[in-house]
Amino acid sequence: MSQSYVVIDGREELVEVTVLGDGKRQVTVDGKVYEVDTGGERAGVSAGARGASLLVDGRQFEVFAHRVKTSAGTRSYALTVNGVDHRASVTDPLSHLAQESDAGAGSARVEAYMPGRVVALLVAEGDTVELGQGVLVLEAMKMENEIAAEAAGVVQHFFVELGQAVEGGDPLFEVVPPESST
Amino acid sequence: MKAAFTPEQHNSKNPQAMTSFKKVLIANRGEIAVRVLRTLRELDIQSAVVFSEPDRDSLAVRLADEAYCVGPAPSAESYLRGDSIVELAVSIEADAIHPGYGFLSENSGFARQCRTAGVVFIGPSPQAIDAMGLKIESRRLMIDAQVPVVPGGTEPLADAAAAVAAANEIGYPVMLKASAGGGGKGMRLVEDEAEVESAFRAAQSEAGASFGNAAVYVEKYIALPRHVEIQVLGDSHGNVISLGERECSLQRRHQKVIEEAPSIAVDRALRHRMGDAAVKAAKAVAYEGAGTVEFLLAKSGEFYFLEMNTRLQVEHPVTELVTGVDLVEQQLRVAQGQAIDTDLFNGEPHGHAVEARLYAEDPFKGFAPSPGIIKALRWPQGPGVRNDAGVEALSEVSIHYDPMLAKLIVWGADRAQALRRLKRALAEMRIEGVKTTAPLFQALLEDKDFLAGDLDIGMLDRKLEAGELKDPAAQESESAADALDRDIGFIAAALANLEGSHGVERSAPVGSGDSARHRWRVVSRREGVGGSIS
Repeated sequence: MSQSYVVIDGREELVEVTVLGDGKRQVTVDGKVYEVDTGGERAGVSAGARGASLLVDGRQFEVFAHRVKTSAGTRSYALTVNGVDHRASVTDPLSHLAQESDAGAGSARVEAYMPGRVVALLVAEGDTVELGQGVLVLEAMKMENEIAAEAAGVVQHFFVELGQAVEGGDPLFEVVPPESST
Repeated sequence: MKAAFTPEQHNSKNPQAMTSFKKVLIANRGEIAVRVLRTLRELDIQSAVVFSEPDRDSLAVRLADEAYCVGPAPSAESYLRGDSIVELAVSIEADAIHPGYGFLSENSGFARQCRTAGVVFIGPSPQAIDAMGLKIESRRLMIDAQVPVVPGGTEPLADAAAAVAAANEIGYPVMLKASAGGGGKGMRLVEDEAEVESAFRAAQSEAGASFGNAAVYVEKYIALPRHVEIQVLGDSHGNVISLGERECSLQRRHQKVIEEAPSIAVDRALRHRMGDAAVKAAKAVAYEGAGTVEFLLAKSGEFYFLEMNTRLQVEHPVTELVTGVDLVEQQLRVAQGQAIDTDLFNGEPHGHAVEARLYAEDPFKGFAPSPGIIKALRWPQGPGVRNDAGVEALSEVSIHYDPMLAKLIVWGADRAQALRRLKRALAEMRIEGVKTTAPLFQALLEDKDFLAGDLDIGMLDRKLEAGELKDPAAQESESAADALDRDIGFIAAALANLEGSHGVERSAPVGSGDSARHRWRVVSRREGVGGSIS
């Protein structure tokens, strides 16, 4: 059995996977047990141009997962389930433990979603921001894109300076919820 | 259930083979180059395309009989190099050049260069392009031709005082517009006399900066109009016909997003009147080929000439699906001097067609561009579905050009069926590796005003501003019916991760490596995201 912590859209779950053979997996999410048919050993969730078809109790889900980033025990995936896009990050239990003691739980780090240049910082470190409030402006492909906080809280840290060029996936800033900022 | 119309069924009156064009050069890229190639192949005409260095491996190149590199990525050094493209046409003995839309399609200088070199420009005369290119000039022409225009001036305003006097005479609210304008630049809405002076100065300086021409005129402001346009075809024998209307009110910042034919706001009588007006407009400039006369349609049912686009439009397929006419074929016939069949269209559209423009943009992140490599691709198929795409699996979506990937076009016996098919087609479609505007269309297909056809040109901007259109990804996790719906993403992510850590990931996703990202970074520092289109 292998365990990992999966975060999608702000929800975190411990997920356990047991390989049953013949392409079948037993997967436990939040205490619920599912038997998943991945379509045989040759099919792969993360591989190839066709994605995977998962069968769970007869229900069919078409899934694409492309790894977009790896850092310190966490892998990020662009995940599509039946055509709907999500961002998922998967962390092994040891790294998860290390990260929890490291940073305040629930901090929301925002990354550049495309290469560009930081042309304005709209707030300062230590400022309190609302969910959705603009924090900095990234110029990419001749367009200015306001990058907003993905959680309400205090801007703990800027990873970038004014004028700095960034690549897609680079961390921009971190927002920590008020109760855990001290 | 009726099958979608095909050009073969409807347009069988002109079966004679075309013989005079042996080879046509396409001076464009992406989906429109592919679209033109298809008709050339059907007509047994050799096709040649131009391409820029990064487009070497594009779908258009792969489908063409001949392909020639005309320069590096920036459009100004490749697709806009009219002189070298004409030279190329001469050297490869092409009989004609099809300019597509955007790029050189409405460049009268290019049309003249073609003529001088003895190559047919597939489009109207340079004079017609020029006459319709300037707003004030075309307004005057339309007034003379008795085509209704928005009440207002026909001369550039000399100064702020003249603007005040003109606005007072027309009555508020009024619109100040740049004569050379387009895309909303140099436009100002003025509610009362006190605002005229400052709005005039702002419009003038914006017009000067954007178009190198500071001329501004004033028009009555039409509240919440629809954008309804008429497809026309003219020939060198003086015939001009209307092929009915397209409803293009669904726009974001003056860029069309979804187009339909017919418009639910247009009945048989209005279609006839608008068609007549469009034919008069085209005849006023002796129009040859396929063109589009754009009108604002007020709630009152009155309509006003907006402008004429002297080229094939992005949204031409919806007209093709409800008339059975292949517009590119008609362009080619006219360009060879043939007369158009004036009975090509019987006046009434057959069924209903809807086009959704798929852009590589993230609609719920402020329409941020999403360049990259398409890692997986499934176009929808089945009854009533047409894809006009410029990309395929593993194509790279470059930052250099307009980010339109494809047009998804559906046909149904009526609007409701067409919209059901669009929804079904979107559910079937998969585009992995880049974000697209598909989720916006899914959101619109849940919107009651859109479903009711209650459209105006500001509707989409208002709904986006008000956050009325919801990202289906966000919707799903909130409304998931049962535990499995909420958990399936976690299952998939954990399984994918397990494969990765055991090394069973057989082929690393193409382009996920640093090299691709690095390339974008390099080009993003260069100049020129060119090739903007209608």
